[in-house]
Amino acid sequence: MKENWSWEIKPASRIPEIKISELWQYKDLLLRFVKRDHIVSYRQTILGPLWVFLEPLIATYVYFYVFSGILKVSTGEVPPQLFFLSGIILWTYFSDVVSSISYSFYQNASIFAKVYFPRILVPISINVSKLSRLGIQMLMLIGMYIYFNVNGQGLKPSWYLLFAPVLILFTALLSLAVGLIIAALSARYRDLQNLMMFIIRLLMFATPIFYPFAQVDEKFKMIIGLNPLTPLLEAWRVMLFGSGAVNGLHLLYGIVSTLVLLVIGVIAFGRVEQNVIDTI
Amino acid sequence: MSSRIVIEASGLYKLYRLGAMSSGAFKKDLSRWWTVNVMGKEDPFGKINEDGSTETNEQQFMWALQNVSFNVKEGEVLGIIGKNGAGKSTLLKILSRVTRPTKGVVRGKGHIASLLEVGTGFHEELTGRENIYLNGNIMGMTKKDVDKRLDEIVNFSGIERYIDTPVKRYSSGMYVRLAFAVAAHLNADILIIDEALSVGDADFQRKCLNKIREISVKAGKTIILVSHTMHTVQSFCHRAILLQKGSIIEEGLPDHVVHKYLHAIQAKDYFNEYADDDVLAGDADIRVKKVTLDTGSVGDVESINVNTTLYIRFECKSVNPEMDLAVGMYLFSVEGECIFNALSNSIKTSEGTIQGCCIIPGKLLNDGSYFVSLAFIKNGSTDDIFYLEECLTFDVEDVPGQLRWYGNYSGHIRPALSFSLTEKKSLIVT
Repeated sequence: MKENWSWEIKPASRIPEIKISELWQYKDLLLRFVKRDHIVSYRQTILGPLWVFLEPLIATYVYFYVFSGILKVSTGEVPPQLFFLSGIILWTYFSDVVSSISYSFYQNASIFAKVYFPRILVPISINVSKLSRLGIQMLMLIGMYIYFNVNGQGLKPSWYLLFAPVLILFTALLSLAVGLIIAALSARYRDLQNLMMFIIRLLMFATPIFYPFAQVDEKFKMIIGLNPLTPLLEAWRVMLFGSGAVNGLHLLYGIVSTLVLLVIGVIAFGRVEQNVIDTI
Repeated sequence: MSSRIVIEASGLYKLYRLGAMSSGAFKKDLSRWWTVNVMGKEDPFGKINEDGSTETNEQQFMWALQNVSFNVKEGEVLGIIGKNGAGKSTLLKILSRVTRPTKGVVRGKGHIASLLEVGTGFHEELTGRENIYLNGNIMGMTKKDVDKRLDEIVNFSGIERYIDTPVKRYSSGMYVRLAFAVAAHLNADILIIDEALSVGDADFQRKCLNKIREISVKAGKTIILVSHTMHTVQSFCHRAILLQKGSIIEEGLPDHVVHKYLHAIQAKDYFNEYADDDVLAGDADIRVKKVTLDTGSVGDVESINVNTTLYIRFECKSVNPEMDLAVGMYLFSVEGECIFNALSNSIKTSEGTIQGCCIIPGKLLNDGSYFVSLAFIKNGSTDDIFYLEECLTFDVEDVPGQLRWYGNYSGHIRPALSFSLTEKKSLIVT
């Protein structure tokens, strides 16, 4: 007699299967995780969500005094504060997502050891939480943008700004991809996590956050250009200020490398996730 | 119960690595990866032979399950029993999909929810209500499912007043009530329960047991229950499975399997003689020759009841010419809780045989199953101890009461305390 089973538990496979329909069934859990993160971050704090504004604002002015005041880095036509803020919010988003995702297995070990749900929901929910944070910070960027324009800067966004959601989507996918890869690598050996996060911190210097890519010395352009965040960030500045050093090919590189990293990340995470509670 | 099979497990194996992860483990990982993926050879650790037998080349790997196959029918309550380390938890982990088998497959129908522990995912900062939703969602319920059951859950938990207070302010009892309330209202077709019943006070436990029985009977839900309480297995389950060292050794009606379990551990474990010099239990300094249990004279183990005095005797050989030796006796309940331990005097040993005897007086233990572990403490150091674990197992039976009390005694011990009632004569002033 042929039975039609609704599920099957098999030994861990090398290429994990990903069931989109199952992810959809668990969408409420995804939203619940996001909600939990928000509640937990701001309950019993004095300033609450104000921290979302304060952090990048303070960083922007520190960079402003260091890079524009002391080091005299030129940001071209764009006011340095606005230039730094646009870079900082995107970079902070990226590094926050990567570092939080890289802890997925450790932080949730006790839940993972008891209940099944698609594990990838945890990194996705982290990403969504941080994305809403990024959205709030965007409002601040718009505020500062208007402020500088009122004070006679005459900045004009490019019509490419219509593609901003696509750009943010790809930044989100890139952050997810890098986070998944680090989480998978460090599931068994925790020190890899420290090493990778150190590399991510160094990567900040190889990303045009507090200098325009156009001003980078030819010798280093190749290296900094290889960072998939570079074309994304430069494209972001083109949209906002109409000035930035990115061409179609470079942007295509950014998009393709994001997708490749994402496939690697999803497979690596899926492979590790199947038996992770035995080793964690 | 219908004859429709909802879970079919066939040929399950699970290999575990023992010991801590360290740089040594990294080296082995590398060599294993090299052998399997680069050289294209078979995995040097943990082979499964054609005939289903297994071998592990290295000590640090262990088979937690070996060739486990069974079916569960719709609406059936299946009990799983066995000693600690028999593979019960591993089996439940595989069934609840938190880990994968090394070999074999489980197929099934319907939604599974596992209560390996109630309150999974509860967050301290969240309120009771928020935690109900979070826990429900983690257990596979949608927001709508929880909405529908929210009132019922809150009522069942009995903490309506505190439902919007963060759970970190709850007493541990309230916390458990809330957690159990969610667990009892899951809309799963198949429930996996592991000792979740041993939380909360007795009253609440009964409430939960009734609720779960109600679920099972009315809604035709299937339940897989791991329990150490033989009484629970006998009264709740339709069928039981006995696991030993990762294999199923008995399967059938609960009474039969429970009897077999109690009998098997008794028959084997009253008397443990480590005869062969090569397989003596021990380490570099100590070789244990035998551990026995009797009721007065050696070999006499007719029946043990709550009044019986027990003699635990052991003999060991010292191979160290000079050492201080003391022995600790640990008594555990069958659930694995330590009831007490006792320590012998210490003696200076030379090479030779040492014998010891520990007496557990009658009228001390309650009825139940117990096991004994011995610790050989060398030179008074807590670092240098040889443990002989679970070397004896025994059952204590109840004696029909002289007292006017027909219920069970609670707790692991039932000491004969001086306890009397007298009527106080009141002085009537006229």
